[in-house]
Amino acid sequence: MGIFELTIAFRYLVPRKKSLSTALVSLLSVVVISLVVWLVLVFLSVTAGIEKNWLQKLTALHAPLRLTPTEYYYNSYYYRADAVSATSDYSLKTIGEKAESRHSDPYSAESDAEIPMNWPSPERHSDGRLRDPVKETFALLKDLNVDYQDYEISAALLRLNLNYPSPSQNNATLSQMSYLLSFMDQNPRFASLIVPPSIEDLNAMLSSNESTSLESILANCVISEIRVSSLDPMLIPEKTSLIAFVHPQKSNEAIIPLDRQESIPDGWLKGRLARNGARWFWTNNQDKIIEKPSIRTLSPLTLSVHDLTLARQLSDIQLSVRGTIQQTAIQHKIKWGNAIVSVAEMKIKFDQFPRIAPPWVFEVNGRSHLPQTSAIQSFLLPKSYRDMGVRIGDRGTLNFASAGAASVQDQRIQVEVAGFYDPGLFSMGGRCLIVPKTITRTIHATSQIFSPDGTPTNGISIWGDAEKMDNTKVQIENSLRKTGLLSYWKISTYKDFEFSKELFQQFRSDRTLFLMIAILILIVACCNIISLLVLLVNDKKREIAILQAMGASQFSIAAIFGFCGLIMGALSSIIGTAAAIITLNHLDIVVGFLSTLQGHAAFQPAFFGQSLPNQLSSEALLFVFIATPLLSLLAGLIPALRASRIRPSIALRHE
Amino acid sequence: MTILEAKHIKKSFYDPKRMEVLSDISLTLSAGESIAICGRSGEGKTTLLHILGTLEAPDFGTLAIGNHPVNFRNAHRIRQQCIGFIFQSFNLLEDFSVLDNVLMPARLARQPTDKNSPAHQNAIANLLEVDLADRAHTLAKFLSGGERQRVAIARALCNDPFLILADEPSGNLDHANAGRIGQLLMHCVKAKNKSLILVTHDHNLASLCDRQYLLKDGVLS
Repeated sequence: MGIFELTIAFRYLVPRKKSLSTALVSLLSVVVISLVVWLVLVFLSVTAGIEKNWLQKLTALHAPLRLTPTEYYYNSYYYRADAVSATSDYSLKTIGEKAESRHSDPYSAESDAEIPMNWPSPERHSDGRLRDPVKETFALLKDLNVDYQDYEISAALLRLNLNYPSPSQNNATLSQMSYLLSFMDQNPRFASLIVPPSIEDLNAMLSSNESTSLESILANCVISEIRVSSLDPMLIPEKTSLIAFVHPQKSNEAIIPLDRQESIPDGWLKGRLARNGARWFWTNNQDKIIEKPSIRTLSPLTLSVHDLTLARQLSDIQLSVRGTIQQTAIQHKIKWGNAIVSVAEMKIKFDQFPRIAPPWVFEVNGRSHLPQTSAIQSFLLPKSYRDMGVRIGDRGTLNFASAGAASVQDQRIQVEVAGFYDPGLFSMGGRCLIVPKTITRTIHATSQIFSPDGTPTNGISIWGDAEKMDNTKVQIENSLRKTGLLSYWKISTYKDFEFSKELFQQFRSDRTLFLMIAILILIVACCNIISLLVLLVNDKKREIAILQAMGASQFSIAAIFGFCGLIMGALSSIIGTAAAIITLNHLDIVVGFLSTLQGHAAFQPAFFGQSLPNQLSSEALLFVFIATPLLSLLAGLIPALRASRIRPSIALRHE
Repeated sequence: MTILEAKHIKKSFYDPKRMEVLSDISLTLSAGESIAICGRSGEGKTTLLHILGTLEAPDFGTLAIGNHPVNFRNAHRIRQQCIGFIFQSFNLLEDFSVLDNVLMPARLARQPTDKNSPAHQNAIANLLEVDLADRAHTLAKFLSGGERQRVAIARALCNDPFLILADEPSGNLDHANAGRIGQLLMHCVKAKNKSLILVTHDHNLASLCDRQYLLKDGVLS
């Protein structure tokens, strides 16, 4: 059974003039199934892409797997011993501090106060050493060859001075109660969340007096274009003159239009500006000459930068510039003055650690680094702060209360903005600053914070392929169980995180629901095949009987019509898949059309991203290429069984 | 050697009343022997031929072909290997070529049918015998009645069966063609030493067979 039946099935499906109705029904069936396949593929691919994007966004900041201490850990002697030990400054330690601590057991029976009776007894190894669950877990994770790092969450009041010269927000102060998440330099995905510094950031850093050294900024950016509103006289070409205007009352200032046709306010005197060596002057060709006027451009003049000579002060920096004014090429070495950078490339990715690190967050071989160019601690803000006028280089303080023996003291840590990140979907994302670990530890030592979204304030993040995290979880769980450390830790994947659980459950429900609908639509579409094949069987009754007379088995006859269904299913799958690939490749056009039709954005960027994902989902493809031919085959079975039951003696006699 | 042995075959139809077509038919056929079954229309000649050709099951009685008792399971295999059919209305596959039609039984028997295969060469030889080798690639639907029946004879000989069942082979042909087809059929059967059961009205054709039977009132005489 095989080739022969397949050949006959192909022959039967080729449309013939004689059987026009069969050909039409068969064409209709293929079109309907192809449409369903197209719809299923496009929808499943886009939703799978959206889910993947969300997963990446969620797990980039918060690792897809997390180990958090259990009640057992917090009640253990190991954790509580620091509170009564002089070695530990009588303060409880975070997981990171525990991992770095030289003493597993800081308690000294001679110098420290007596351990309360109600404390659990210390867990010890057979050689008497205190069991160190943190260090042992870190060693175990290292053996498992996964990326991991401890994290801490605290809270503080952020007060930030906004320096960006904007008319409404100049010298404003921003005050906001914020959560602080420790910066995890081991996070391999964090780099994808960093928002590159903008030109506004660069101009703010350059214009800010408090900004870190010019050297670190200019060593890590290439300025290729600036805009100036005052013209260095040395830029006026010799032996030529430019049209310029002076006000009768303000004779020491000349205004120069960028274009000869540019209109000038009434009452200004038109003349020409010329230079002869170090002397420049304005004249109206009658008798009025103004020597060395200051020159302002009517609108900002764009100059391309070819060379830059560093100096201690920004205003002393020398730039080799070129440009065009009034169709005249200009070129000279000028001082920075009040230039504004309009085009520059700021380096954020490095192959090796830069000799002079930039004052913004940067990436060396995929790992992110916070700048350490000044004595002030750098930190990152969610990208929404940009809209409030915050720029890289802005400085401020993190304020928190420290409870002493007799009073509550206000503590401050000086901080500087080093960049912005995309918090994705994270309930406290809009208010979560990423700060160096030293800050979270300092605050943690004074007060315990509870995060509002259920994220434990201290734990270990473990990174890896999010889709394989269930396996990694089992692997870690088994290792912890084997070493007796499981009671200290709670292991949770992104599917269990409070802030993402419901979203992913919803994604899963949506997908299951659509899959069920897709199967239903496919079944309905494949039912067309039943009608087609019933027609075909009626049409070919005599031929079936002839084949039976020549020795075709019932199974062979059934197989011919089963193959007919299968071929139609496979053909429709191929056509539908090709259409889906074309659609996905031109998804922006489809979305644009839908948006025009609706009069507003068809898919909100906040949820779906800037553009819809257009990768063909392999899972959807697998589903289509299994489900469609299978359903078509099943649909073909009913007419096939009917065909196999034809009695040749009756069919032949009727002829 | 006995090729076919039918014992006490009975068959009735319900239309709507029960109507016994075959009452008690017993028949034996030896290798190389040819028999003709004559009778008036509606006497059950074709029914008997279909039963003997395993296309239809009898209500009662047994049938053995080539010493194999026929049952539901092996009927198609027996048709494939032991029997060649020739029908009154030719029953060719219209959208297939002459050669495809002739090779169809070999394909159903899963024999290789490429150009150098024995089945292909046998088909060409059979087409030469029926004088249609030059029309091997013509579609069956473009042939005349006489040509169609010649293709049917070549097809019936394809798998080299030992039994040929012919149902009024000349019934749909004009007098001249009928004579030619009859001669050709008898020639092929004798030349290849096949056994033949021929159902016909044509007494001339029937007279060419070794034995003649008359089917009347459901009984062979």
